[in-house]
Amino acid sequence: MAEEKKVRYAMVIDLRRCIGCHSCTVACKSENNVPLGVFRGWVKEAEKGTYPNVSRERLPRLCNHCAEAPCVDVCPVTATYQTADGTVIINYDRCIGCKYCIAACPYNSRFINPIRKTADKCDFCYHRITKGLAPACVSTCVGEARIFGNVLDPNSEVAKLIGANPVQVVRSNLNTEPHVYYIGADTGILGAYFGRIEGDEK
Amino acid sequence: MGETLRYFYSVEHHVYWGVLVAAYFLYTGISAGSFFISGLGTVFNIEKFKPFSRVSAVIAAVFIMAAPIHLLADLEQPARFWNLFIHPHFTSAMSWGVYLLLVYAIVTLRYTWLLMQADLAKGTDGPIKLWGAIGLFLAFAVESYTGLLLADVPGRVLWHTPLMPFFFSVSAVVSAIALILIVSWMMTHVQGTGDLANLLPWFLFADFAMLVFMTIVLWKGSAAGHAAAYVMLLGPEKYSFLVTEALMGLIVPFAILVSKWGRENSIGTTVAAALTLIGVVATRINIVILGQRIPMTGDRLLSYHISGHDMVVAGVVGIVALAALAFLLRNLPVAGRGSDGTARLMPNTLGVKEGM
Repeated sequence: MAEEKKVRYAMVIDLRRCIGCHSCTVACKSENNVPLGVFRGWVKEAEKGTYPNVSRERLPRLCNHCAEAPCVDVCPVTATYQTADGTVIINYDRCIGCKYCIAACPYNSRFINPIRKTADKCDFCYHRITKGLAPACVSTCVGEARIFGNVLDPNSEVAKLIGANPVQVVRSNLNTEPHVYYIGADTGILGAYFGRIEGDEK
Repeated sequence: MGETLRYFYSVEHHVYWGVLVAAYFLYTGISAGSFFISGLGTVFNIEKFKPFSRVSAVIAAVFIMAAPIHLLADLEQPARFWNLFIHPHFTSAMSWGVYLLLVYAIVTLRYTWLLMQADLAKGTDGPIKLWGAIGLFLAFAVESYTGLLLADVPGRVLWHTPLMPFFFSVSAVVSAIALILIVSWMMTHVQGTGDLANLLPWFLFADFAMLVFMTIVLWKGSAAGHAAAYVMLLGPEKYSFLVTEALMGLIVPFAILVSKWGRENSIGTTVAAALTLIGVVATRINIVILGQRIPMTGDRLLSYHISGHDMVVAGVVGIVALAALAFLLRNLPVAGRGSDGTARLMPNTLGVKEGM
């Protein structure tokens, strides 16, 4: 019998605590030396509704480290792979830059690093988490909206939050099993909004 | 109307597969489709298509040699292309495709070589039939894989349909027939392409039918699908889709080719073929690029601008491929003169007696 998996990293983003300061974006850029014009993590923000019934919604975004990751499946040289702890990472020395993973990622989480000339994306700050540190975006979050940990450990904060709250994931219909969970996310901002394209809004 | 969202901040995502990938699909399609036309004469032994077997084989060989150059040029790390061979990944359609392309290219070259050398009037078409049959299977596999490459992407609404491999295959034959008709007309300037011209409307009809089916399913499907169909039918891409791809590339050539004038006039046939080719180019660009412009997490169409690098590569490869094709067709035994002295393709080399 195969050995039971003991670690599966996941992130919970509690939007009730997010203040939209974008410090996660900045910390990620700084920690991972992400070039100008591309992002491993970002926060999208929108206004919902019509005056006077309006609300402001935001959604911090990053790689979802899917259990059934399309990017892992389609990589023709196995440069993108999943570690035993579920983190999806890229072997930059093997990547040929064919961009199939970028086309296949349903979350726009990937990009071409214009300096390294390979695919790139969030790796949960793998260099940090393997040393027992939290990802940069988690440790910098002023509202402690981001919680990172082992979802298989019932005593971890992520497991408790996921168990005790209604959680959402981005594009849940795709069967990719994302491992970035949101608490309090508005459904409108979780996926794409097509009203503007179809002319609802000028 | 549902709730409205007004995005006021998000990052810009990019379209990473551009004209080079579209050109790659176009070239592999022309090659695979040409192989199919060549095989109609050599493998299936259909007399009326035999005059086109050699021309088609040369087109298939030239275009399959040119096609991968687009992919290599599109790699961010082209020097690492060997990784495709030393680190295969069999859940990836692209990984399969590399091997398929390689084997198909070898088989096409061997088949073309045999076809050029053989004196089939003496009935020695055994090896050609064998290589042709293998090549036909591989041609379908190559074209299907390019369709599967896109269909295997669940997040892209325009790509993720099981029809895609078949749509690509039919579109491949359409583009191949169109090019063969143009090349044949340029070589002989005489009527003689009627049988092939009669075949084209059927494939145009099949292509159009699939386009209609896919558009209906998109329109009535998910929100993303409806948005994609809206963009193609009523939105900013209506000229590229409705006018260039559907009207100019499918409906007008179909109308020309089913008309008496179009069938009996080589100019009409050639014009229809040229319009068809333009339509197929638009099809490839629409599928590849528009497929990525439909937002997956944002609220607006992603923008795409062709880069200078891509433009130069596509232009140079196109010019070199056409020059190579012209050189080979001029120097290989694909055309000659009939007993009446007029230029003609060479059915007699495939065992058809003069005057038949």
